[in-house]
Amino acid sequence: MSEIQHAAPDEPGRYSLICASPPSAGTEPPSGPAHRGRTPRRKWQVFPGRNRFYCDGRIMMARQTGVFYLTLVLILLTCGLFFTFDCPFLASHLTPAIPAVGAILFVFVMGMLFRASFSDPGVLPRATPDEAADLERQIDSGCSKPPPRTREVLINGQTVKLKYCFTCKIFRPPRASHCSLCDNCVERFDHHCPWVGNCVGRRNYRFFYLFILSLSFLTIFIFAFVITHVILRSNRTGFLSALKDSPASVLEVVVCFFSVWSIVGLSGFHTYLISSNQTTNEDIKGTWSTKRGKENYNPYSYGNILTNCCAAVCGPLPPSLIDRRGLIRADTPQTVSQSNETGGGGGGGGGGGGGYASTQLHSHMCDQDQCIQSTKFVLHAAATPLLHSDPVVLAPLPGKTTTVGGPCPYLSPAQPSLPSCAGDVLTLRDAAADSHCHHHLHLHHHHHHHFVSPEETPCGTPQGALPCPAHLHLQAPPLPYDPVTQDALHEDSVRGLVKLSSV
Amino acid sequence: MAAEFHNLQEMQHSALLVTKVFIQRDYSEGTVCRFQNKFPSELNNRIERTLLEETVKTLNSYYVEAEKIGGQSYLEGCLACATAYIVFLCMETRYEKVLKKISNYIQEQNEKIYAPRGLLLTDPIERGMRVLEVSVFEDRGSSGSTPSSSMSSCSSAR
Repeated sequence: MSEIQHAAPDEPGRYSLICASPPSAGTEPPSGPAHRGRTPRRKWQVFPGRNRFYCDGRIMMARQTGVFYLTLVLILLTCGLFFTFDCPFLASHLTPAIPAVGAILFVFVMGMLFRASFSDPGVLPRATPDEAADLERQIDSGCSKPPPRTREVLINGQTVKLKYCFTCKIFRPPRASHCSLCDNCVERFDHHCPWVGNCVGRRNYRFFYLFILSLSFLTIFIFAFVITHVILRSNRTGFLSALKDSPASVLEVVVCFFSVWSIVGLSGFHTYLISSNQTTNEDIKGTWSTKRGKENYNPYSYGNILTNCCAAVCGPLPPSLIDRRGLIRADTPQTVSQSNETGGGGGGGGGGGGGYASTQLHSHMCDQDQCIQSTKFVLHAAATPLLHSDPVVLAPLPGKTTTVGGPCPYLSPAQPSLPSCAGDVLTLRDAAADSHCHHHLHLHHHHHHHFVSPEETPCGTPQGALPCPAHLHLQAPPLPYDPVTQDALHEDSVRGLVKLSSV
Repeated sequence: MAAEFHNLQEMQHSALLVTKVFIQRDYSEGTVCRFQNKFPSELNNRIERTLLEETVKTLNSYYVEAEKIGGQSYLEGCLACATAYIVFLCMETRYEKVLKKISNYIQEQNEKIYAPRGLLLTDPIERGMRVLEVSVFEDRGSSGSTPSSSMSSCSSAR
């Protein structure tokens, strides 16, 4: 800490001395453009959801992929054994069409599996700070308290409720849902499938369906022909020696037998869902069931089974809304989680282009500022009493988060665990970080600083009370504190250090 | 009072972003992409109502065309399915073609109608199809203009 003494308050340039060494590990630098000399980064690298990307952003999967590998192994093993041990016999004794058809089915199954697993299910990108602010303003402008977080919409005569997503800061479109495993809102969310290692949503539902359909055919095909093989052999040499001659057949039969029930059953279920144009989500919740009311019907159905099926499988395939492989440009607005943004790349000429003279954008997130910021908070915490009657401003997020580095333990030494605000509005973290204390920050961007949290949080609202003791009172200038505005951060930190140095 | 810009480049260099107005999605017809045709009050003295409504109507019709389920889309879908979707490596889907048309249309509208009035439309695809963003600019020369009441948190308040 002796390095701080070197800081000369009247020479802003000397603040760099404080940060002789880079801040503690774990903080990955976020969006790129501030780092001169580095190659421009792609948007998938700063994607806020819990997804994994491979092949430089071309492949997108969920975080847990263990079961997907199991699926892969089961299919490859069974088919491998079939082609190696059963097909030669069948080809020579019956017809070579059998391995040919088997091969076609196998290739189709694998193709559909990869397509379902690796493509974007229809993730909705999170709102940009401007949009989030605009929505907040609209929500809070009403007189009711707590502010309404649902909107009602009439679709084809049915009233549908649109819910507000606190993580993504948007009102979810109808049929969209937030996947807690992937931490994304997904359009036409069906379910999160661990076997496929991805969510199933609008963009990959048809691949998923074709995968399970073709897999049912493949399973039945293999099952049938392995049994045929064993029977033909046992006609010639007896049952037991037939089994001894091709032991792999036993394994295949066992795998196929158990798979058939589940896969065929699942295909049947999804065929029903497709023909009635429902998602698994809706079916499980009984959203359109007539049990809820006589007038309850599915407003999305085309009325005709054939049309529903064709629309689901052969309808137009919308493009991905998250531009994974786009390059992060200096003028690309960051989302509220300081990450991914749509468009970019070759996007509209007059669009996100140079028109942004606004100050909201990142680009000052350099290590230096983080270091200054965290130092300031630490020192401030030491200097000011924890409980204060004035309204609080914000609490720094601990440890690994990218922006605000103030460590929690400093602020509330007696508090072993901080209450988690279920309302989670703004979490400043990058894709890999997990906060220890799940301390979430709600940003109310109007002119005064007070902690407004959504109704569900245990943190409570009242101005003047300090529900979460880790909050800091900052004698900061009355700027609307937007953690994304790093310029304001820098200014604050400069002022903070000036104050401290005068103590 | 409204700034006059002659082209996009001029606006970008000499303009200050005042606020952004968002035109939200209209879900009354289901999940089809469609924007509300409600004229935002913040743009009352910036642009004629009919022009904006015309733009939104045209955009909506483009999206309907992209998502239309009919003969051509079925053909494309069946062909893709039959080739295990490999065909999309060489061919653009219809949706993508329409999105390109939309992008050109917005560019053209910006140049002809919106930039001269100090406004800028952002292609909805860049905002995840959630909103149609209209950025409102003021001429730097006419500084001291107070931001409108619908300020977003971060702009010139510094």
